[in-house]
Amino acid sequence: MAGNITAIDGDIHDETYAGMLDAPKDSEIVRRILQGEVNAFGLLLDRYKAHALTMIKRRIPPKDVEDIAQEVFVRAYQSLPGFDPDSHFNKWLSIIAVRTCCDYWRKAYRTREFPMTSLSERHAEWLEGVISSASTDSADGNARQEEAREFLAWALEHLSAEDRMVVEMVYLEGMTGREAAELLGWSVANVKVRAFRSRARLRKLLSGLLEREEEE
Amino acid sequence: MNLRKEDFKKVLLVFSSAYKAEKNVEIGNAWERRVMARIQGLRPLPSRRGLTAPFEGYVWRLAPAAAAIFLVLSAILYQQMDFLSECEMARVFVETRLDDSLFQVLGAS
Repeated sequence: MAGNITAIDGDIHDETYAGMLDAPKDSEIVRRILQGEVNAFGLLLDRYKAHALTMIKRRIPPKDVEDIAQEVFVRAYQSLPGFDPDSHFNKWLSIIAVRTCCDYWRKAYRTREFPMTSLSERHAEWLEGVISSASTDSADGNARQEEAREFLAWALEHLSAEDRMVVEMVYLEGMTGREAAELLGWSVANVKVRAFRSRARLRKLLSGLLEREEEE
Repeated sequence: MNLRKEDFKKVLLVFSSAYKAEKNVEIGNAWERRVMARIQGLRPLPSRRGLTAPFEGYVWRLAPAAAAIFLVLSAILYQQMDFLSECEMARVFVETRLDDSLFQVLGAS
């Protein structure tokens, strides 16, 4: 039953049936905020905190997640006058979250504020292990996954902020070009071109690493 | 060693599963309070955007085209303006004696 209601009213997620009947709709909350009831924003914050955090945690280093999550909600609040009451709030918030993350990386690359990940011998071994393994379930255990994560962080640091976002959305999260374009506010063609180029760049990067490893 | 296409696909799949794995980042209630405090400190929002709101997004997108059109029109206008005759007119006044040029201007013989 709850599933049916979620399908009809895409605004509300993870609520019980009774709770959903009582809960005001997102558009209603937005209307109240715009009429001056600022504290009503707490309802939206509470409702979509988990959704926004899931998106941000994947894209931003753990130490900055809190700040960026705060920035996302502040931007969302400031953009409320432009919110279309007929659209879904979570989708609208996702757009703000993705663009805030993109801005974060642009700034980080410009100022080089983040520590560059360095690769050790075990990372190269990990890469060779993945290539030589028969299945892709080689992330056996947390340690292997940690290596994969560090390796990925190193690889993504070699891309621009925009390319990084595209790689994350298209190749790591499995979004379609259209979905990524919608979130980033770009054309589908732009996303496809960037995705193709970034993929080639990543492949070249990994190939170069394997070559160096062979020479040594 | 060039990474083969299928090997690269394999690496991407492993990256994808590591990327999707839940990161252990906890955010407490204090964070929510901080967000609300910051929002309460902001100036009040305008009730709704006006009728021009749907077009506001296009303003900056069209700015380069508008600037280009402005430059082209300025160039055309510059070419069509008859600066030469005005210069000649100025020269008549500068180089000719005052009484002569006044006679010419006033059409006296």
